[in-house]
Amino acid sequence: MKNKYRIIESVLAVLLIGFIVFLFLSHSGGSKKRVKEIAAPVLESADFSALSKKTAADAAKVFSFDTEKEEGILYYANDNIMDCSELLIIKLKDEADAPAFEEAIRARVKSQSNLFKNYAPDQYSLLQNAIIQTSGNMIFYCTSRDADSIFEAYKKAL
Amino acid sequence: MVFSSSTFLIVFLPVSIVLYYVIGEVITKSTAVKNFILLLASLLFYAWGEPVYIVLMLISILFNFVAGKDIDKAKASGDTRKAKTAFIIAIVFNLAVLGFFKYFGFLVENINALFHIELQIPQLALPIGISFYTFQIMSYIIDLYRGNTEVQNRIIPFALYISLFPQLIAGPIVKYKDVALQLETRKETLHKFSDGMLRFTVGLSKKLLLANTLGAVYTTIQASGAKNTSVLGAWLGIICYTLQIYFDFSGYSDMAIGLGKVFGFEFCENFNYPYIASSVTDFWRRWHISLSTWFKEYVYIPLGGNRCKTPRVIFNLMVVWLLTGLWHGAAWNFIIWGVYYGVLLIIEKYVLGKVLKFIPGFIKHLVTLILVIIGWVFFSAPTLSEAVAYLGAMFGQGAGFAGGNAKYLLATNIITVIIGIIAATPLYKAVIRRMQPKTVSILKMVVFPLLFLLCIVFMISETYNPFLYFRF
Repeated sequence: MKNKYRIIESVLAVLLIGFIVFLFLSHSGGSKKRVKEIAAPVLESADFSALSKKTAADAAKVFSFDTEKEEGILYYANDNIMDCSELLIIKLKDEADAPAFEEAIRARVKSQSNLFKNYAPDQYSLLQNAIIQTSGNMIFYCTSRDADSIFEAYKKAL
Repeated sequence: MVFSSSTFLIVFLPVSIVLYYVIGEVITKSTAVKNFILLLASLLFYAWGEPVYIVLMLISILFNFVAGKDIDKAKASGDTRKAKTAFIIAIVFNLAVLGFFKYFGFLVENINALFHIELQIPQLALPIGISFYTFQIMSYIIDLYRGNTEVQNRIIPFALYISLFPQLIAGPIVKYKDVALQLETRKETLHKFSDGMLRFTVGLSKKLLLANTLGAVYTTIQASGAKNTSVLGAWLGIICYTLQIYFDFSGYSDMAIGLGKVFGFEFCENFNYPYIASSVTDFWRRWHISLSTWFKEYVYIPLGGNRCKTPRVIFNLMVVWLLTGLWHGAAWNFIIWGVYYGVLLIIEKYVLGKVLKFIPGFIKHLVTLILVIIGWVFFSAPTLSEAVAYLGAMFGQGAGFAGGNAKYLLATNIITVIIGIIAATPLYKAVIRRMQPKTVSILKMVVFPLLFLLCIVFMISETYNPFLYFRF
């Protein structure tokens, strides 16, 4: 008689392979590069001298992100409160968390828009044209006059 | 779910404790029921953060439960060949799962770099705690095969052993033979419960009050890049990281051991004031004790340990430390970190040997500490080249001796650093020992609620809250 334990083990091994195939198939987009690798060409695509580099903790405070879920982050913002320019690239550990992060970014853009709407129309216009894009575990957000060229550089770098 | 989150502290933990004691102790007085409640809680705890990978854990549990029975059946029938085959199948399965989820991406990355090709594979997230629970599973399989433990015939206690939420995510790595009896029968007492809660509060305080605060200093310094970091800044940063990783990881272990006590378990200690070590060998007897003993018991001794000729012992040590580095992460800086310790231990064992006895204690402590701090540079850096650049900044290759930013960070954090250094030594225990028991009791009643309240305040105001060892 065949060893029943070996049969169960085989079934479970097949199930495991099926699970891995499912993980691969359900995995969409994103990048396997590190944020630093993506950041280099992006930062060369425009002049960021007016912005200063911020830490993950800074971004967490501004966007209410859960930093545990981040694998890497690049965040530049203008220290001048009259300037809404920002660049944010996040790589998440799990792409399932992307919607929550995207929602937090949209909330930030909305609150900034409300702030600038009545007294800084140029900044409000930039916010209205902010680019927010999610691809798998990668999220890109940019508010800048050069947002389009920065986004192009980002897409190429992915 | 993390221990230092409001969801865990305010909802998950109180509900789990109430259900465990009301249904398990008051109503049924049954360990089986208690195990079942704890298992459900543990699976929910894991699924909270890893809804997909709970499937992987369940497959692992079932596979190893069946593999255990397979090994036991073959051994009982005296068929050693069959037992060996069943054992090898189980070990290969566990290593394949760990290898695939943790190291496959790293392997492909290196193949691409070596052969200048572009193999593309979807990057999967690392299942949280996989290194810890796989090592626990393997301890069961190996000990069962060796005859050092009995087979577990019931799935609930077995699944609970692997998924038990207090130590599921970041250890200590509990060997099956050490808790086998506790899974069948354990005694919860009021003393154990209160002891556990106090230990949990100590761990929570280490994490929220010290590790996170010190970690923020290191993150700020590291973010400015090695080229822009002065000698003072680099040393301050890595000293903060040295303290952060200790309070972060030992804090988690304290919380795990404390929660274990709350549910009647006794887990092994994982830390014993590692930064007071007088040699690198001594450091590794005090740091992540459960991992060191795992490698010693299941790798080093089977390879021959130190009962062989010198070249073979050196080979055994290097294998163990290479694996220790790899266990921590699929990256070259972890491999170098492991090899670094392997080399240091070999030098201590074969070159310094008896010389160490004649060196004053203070110098031995200082040299050990510096070597450990340098080790953390490799450990903390995202890449090997960044580790080398950071080391350069520590020895003057960055931005001068003391930049304005470093001075500011030192001035604003010096008290936390000093508290951290004192708290990393057993000094406070010596002070407590000199006090009257009554004074200690009163102090406990005042200090612990205060610490807990402080933790809550820090938890609410801080978003920077990662456990460093989660990624392993």
